[in-house]
Amino acid sequence: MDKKLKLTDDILLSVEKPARYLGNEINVVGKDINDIDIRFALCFPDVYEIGMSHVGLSILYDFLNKREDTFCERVFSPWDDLEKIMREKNIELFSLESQDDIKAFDFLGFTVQYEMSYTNILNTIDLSGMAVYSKDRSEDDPIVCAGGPCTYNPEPIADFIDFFYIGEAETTLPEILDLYKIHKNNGGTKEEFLIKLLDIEGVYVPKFYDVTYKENGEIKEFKPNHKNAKAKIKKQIVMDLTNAPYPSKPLVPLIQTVHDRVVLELFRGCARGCRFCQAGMIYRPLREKDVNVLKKQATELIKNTGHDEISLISLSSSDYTGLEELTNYLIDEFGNDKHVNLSLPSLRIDKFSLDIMSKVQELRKSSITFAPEAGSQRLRDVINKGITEEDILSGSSQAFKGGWTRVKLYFMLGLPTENYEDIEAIAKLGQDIVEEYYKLPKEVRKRKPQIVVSTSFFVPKAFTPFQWTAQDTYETFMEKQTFLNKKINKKSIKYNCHDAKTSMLEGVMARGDRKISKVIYSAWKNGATFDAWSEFFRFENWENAFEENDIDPLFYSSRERDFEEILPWDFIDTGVTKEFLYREYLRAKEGIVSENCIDSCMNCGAKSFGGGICYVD
Amino acid sequence: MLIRIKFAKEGTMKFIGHLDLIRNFQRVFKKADFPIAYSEGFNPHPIMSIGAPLSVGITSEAEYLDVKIKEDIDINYQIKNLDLHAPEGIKILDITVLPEKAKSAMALIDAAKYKITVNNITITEDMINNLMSKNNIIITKKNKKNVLKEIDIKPGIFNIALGEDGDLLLLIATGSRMNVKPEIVLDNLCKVNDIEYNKFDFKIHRQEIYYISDNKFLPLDKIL
Repeated sequence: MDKKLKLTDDILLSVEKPARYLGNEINVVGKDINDIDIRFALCFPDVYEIGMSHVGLSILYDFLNKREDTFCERVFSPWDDLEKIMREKNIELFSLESQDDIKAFDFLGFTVQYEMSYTNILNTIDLSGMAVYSKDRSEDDPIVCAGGPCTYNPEPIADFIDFFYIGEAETTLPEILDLYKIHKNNGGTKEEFLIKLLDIEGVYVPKFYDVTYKENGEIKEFKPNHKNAKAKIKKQIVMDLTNAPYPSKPLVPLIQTVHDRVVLELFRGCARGCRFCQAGMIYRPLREKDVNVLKKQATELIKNTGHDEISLISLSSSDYTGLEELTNYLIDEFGNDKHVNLSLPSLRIDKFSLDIMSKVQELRKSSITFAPEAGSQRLRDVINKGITEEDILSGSSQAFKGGWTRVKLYFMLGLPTENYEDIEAIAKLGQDIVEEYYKLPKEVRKRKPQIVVSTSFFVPKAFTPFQWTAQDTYETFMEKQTFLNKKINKKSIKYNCHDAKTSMLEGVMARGDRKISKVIYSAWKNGATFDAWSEFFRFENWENAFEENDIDPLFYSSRERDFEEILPWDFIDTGVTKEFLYREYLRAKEGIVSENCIDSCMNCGAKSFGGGICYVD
Repeated sequence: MLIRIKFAKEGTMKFIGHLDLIRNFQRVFKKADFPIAYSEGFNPHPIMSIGAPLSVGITSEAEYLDVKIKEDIDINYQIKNLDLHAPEGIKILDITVLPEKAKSAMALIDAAKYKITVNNITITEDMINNLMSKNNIIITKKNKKNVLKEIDIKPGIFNIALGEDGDLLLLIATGSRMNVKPEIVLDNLCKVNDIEYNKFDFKIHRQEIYYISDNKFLPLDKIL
């Protein structure tokens, strides 16, 4: 029998990639609405191909649907061609699985991965036929919730979301759903449910908190307005990753997405302590998954999906204690005539990794990637990026000897304390790598090396040692980029750069407070959606939004904060203490490096979770 | 050894384009542990091809995929095995072993039979006669150099008739020598008869793909 579809054939055939809207993927979950208690619409607020490539979404979809009482369905942002038709014909946004309107659901949950998707969140709520501001929504509307890395500073979107879950959803959501089921069966208002939520660790209900501001715009006070509301919201995380739920039959889209591959999660968290990196701080402590479980999952996942690539993901794969055992196993099991490729992003380039890569890419040598982030050793010490020039040069040299000719280098412009010598050092480092290549004997140099330098602009993030620092202004960013562009020897190095407007906006969102909600609303009203897409991004939408609300973006992006200032996200407890972050900030300014979690404990506070790397000898 | 897999493409699978369909088959073969042969070289890929890719929006009960295999297969088992692993909407119907010097499907195909179900308008014999009584049916089409070119599609319409339910039945040229699209025939039929119709409100279904041998139309898996 043909699947019931919300959109008629004439609409589907008039839009790009109609398969985005069908919900007919391999391993899709179907449930009878009459057999379940809770309908959960899980939304990745971007286009289908992006959302479907996100492993977090896959994990959430799987573990929510493992519950017999819950049917979790997916929703993505419709592409602009469909959105136009939906608005013309008054078609409300629907889920992919049952193709029912989002309005019929109990929950609409967003996974928020990047700041530039905020307007898509508003657009999703609006396309569902609901009021964008929480306070304007009715009892009949689904409860709107959100989680993910951006929600560690939930304030910029606090006015649109009924509640946030801070941390990893596997721990908090089941408890929330249990509570909701009882609430739904007993009958009660949304308000009553939100009050009950205040008892659950890790849940933040913005309406039960008031913020007052000083005349200079800083926060004067942030405090609960309900007796049950906790003063601190403690992040919730999975401590036993080995036995945590993981999809064995993930969805396989019928159309090509960004990443069509089997994903193995080696560990969560990171031991490295790079001072600019939010993920490295908020996901602490590092928790590994057992290598034997990963082996088992690899076999199962290839069988259930038919993918031809396995990707090992984590923040710094080289730190996985079972890496050698795992990669050897995967090469034996899937290499050769099985035609399954192994991809190892975020791998430190050294002899070991080059050996592995030679084995997995025996015929086709792709490129080698380094992320030194800063050009000079001085600045790398400031950001605590534990990679030396020697590492990079010897890594490149070994790679060249091994037959690779393409090297990609990633840097950030605008890191704290950066000066023009540091920027010039980026050009020099690139050139030094080129020279490493020409040290090879002539007869082995088959072609010109391809060295690609890419820069992005530094965005200070909440819960990092740089959360107090001033971001460079747009003008400074562009001057620095122009300077570097002139310094790079284009004969041998390709330079990828881009405009700084998005980075500047990210800078505002990442450390914004509740006042920013109005700006996001105005920008969306002005027409902003898909801001992460250069073809849709219009800076005017945002410029006007700041003006309309009389808000100075530089107050948020380019202002140095005092240690005493109440930061908008201070009420969230990630386990990593503010004192540790500030200690790291001071050390950064003096260029003092800190040891990583493998070598020594810097007492960040994550030990309070009682597990992970903090308790490994 | 080359084999030709006959399959149906139905339901929501009609929205999946040719390249994605190929990728889906690659995964089906992997899941089914099917002994497909890979090409040599820097970037080995499974050797398979579809002779006449179906446009998005069209369903079919007779599609053909040529596949190179590296060892003998049990045909009855593999029909079931592949079908089990295929996405919903793909039905594996048959497998034919091709003779050693068989032409590829792409080189072989001459024609295809379609059934068009139109909503909102009624097609009559008179309307068909109005179209076919013309000396030629000229359409403009961009060629490979992106230059507009006039083509007469009348020689490519081998048969056009009304079906029992008022459907339009077409046997038209398909493949590399001449290719007539069913929706273009419908479009010209409506134009000649001054009928307005919704460009998206009809269903096209492919019923068979043929090659011509001794002036006979033979289904693609009927190997002589």
